[in-house]
Amino acid sequence: MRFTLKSFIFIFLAFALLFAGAVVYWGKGAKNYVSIGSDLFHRVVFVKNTDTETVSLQVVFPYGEAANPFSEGLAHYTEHLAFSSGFGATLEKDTGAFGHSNAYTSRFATGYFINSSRGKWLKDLERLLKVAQPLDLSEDFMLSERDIVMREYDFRLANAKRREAHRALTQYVYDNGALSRTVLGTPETISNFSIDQARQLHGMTHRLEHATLLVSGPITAVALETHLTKIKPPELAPPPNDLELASLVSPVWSDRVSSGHVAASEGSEDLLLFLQLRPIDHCTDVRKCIVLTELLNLVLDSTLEGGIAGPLRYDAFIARYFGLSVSLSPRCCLEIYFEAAPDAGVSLSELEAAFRTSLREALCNGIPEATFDRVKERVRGGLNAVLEKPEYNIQALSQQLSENVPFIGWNEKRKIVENIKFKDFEAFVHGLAQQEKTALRYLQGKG
Amino acid sequence: MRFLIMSVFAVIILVGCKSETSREVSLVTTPDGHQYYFMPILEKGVTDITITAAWPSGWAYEAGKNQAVPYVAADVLVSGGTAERAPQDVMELMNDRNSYAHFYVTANHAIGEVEFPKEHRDVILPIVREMLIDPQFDPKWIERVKQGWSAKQLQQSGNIDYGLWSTARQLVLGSPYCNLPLGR
Repeated sequence: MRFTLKSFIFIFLAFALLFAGAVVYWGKGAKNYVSIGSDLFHRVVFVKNTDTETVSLQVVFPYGEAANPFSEGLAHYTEHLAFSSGFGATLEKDTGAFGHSNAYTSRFATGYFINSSRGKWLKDLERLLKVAQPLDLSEDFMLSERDIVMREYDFRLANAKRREAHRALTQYVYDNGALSRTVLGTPETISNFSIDQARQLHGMTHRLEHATLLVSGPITAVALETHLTKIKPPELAPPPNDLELASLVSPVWSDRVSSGHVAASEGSEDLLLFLQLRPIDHCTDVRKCIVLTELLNLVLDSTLEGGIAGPLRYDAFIARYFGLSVSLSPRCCLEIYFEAAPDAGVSLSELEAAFRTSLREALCNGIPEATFDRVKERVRGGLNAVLEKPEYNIQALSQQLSENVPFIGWNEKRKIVENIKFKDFEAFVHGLAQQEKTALRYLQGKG
Repeated sequence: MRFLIMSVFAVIILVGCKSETSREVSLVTTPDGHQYYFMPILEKGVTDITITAAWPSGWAYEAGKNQAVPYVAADVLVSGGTAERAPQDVMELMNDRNSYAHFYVTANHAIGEVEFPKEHRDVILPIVREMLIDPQFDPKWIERVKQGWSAKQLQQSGNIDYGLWSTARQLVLGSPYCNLPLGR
């Protein structure tokens, strides 16, 4: 059989087409979302979801309470005002069943969303962007909104003693810096919020060119992209020149432990509150660090060898209940928060000693490879269950926006998990063991 | 009671064996004559099976009974291990298979629910069966769960919203429905 130039070109083209098809296919599979170019926003992300009739619109600014240079809680107050000024007051009566809307402020972001419909999303998207326009509210309304924030504070943070104890922990470990601030503020700061400062903070933080627009629903990326080119940009106030947003600084490491006893409110049980920071300088790939942190959380929160649940709750009766959260504050540190109630006959100091011993053994002596393998398999199994479900991807992306961390769709996460070997996990844990900064409080109940 | 639990479980264990039209609910009878509702979801991306079983019981709201008993029992059934397996072994086996079990009580039923990826059916169902018919009921574990419920109840009693809701409930419904759902 003789190959002619023609047949060679044909075979070459056939392979090229197959290769291009594979690239497109795997490219699509690698991400569960589509990025769309826009002059208006920093980033536009779209997730197609035909399982619903709702078109979900979300605009998120990458500034939260940690960026607020004014009194504690002002970022949340500003969010209330921007919501009301932008669309909150008029939306419900206009949009009917699809009109659900809301807003949030976290330490790292401020977000607004509208759940719209196929027929109304174009109009609702323009409404949503009005949160970036200068605040257009009467002074009376703005002042009365402070009372609304105060009611929210009362509702969410009812247990005063526990709240104070928790606040003392964050203030110590974060050196009273940006990360020690609470999103809701305090009764003192809330009652003194300044309208002028809220306007300034709004002007500094609510910039569409810094924002991410996340859209999901039964529409097409092409329809969204086409519409974005037609949107008339809202009129924005120039940002104040003479002010700077607060910036994050690494904690000052200290071996000293901040500890204390707090008499709890009536009806409370004995409780140990424990907050510890660990360094993450050795972890440079943020996406990988986020997944490593999740794996570590699952290991520690288990009864497997290397976990703390066995020694504290199952092999012995020490902690009747405990909650553990291991999370990453990007550009800062790893945060370990532990809260536990002792079993009958166990003191808070015995509980603390048992927990610290278990944690030290896990971080300093290492975690067995068998435990790592077992937990990695769980994460892999959990991902398989959600890969094909757009609503889970949307939830994950929304969560990542609120934490102001890089996007990791489920397909990307699966790849990251596959690529993490035991030696990576070992090195991550070893790096954490180099330093620590700890604050704890004993909340003594009055049962 | 043990016979009843075994009977009900024998019924729900058959869920997922029969294929019908997606999301269509049908009343199915087992060869033993037990009936159960079956709703297959034959759609892309649906990987898990959920089984819910409800036993008629008004214990939690009945005057003259210790209302905390069904709450404590429900917790112990799920968390306290079985005659064959320690509590941690049950928990880790469920976690290994991304499976969840809940048991809770309402005014007129005790409800058990288990959710698991379909490929783990042969591992999870025997564990759930053990939980229901052969729980460990370790007195020390029961005591721990009791302490937890007492602490929660104490905390609730100091909550103004909860107090207002309970008072309104008592005024509107009267005895025996005025009983607080967490027991005394």
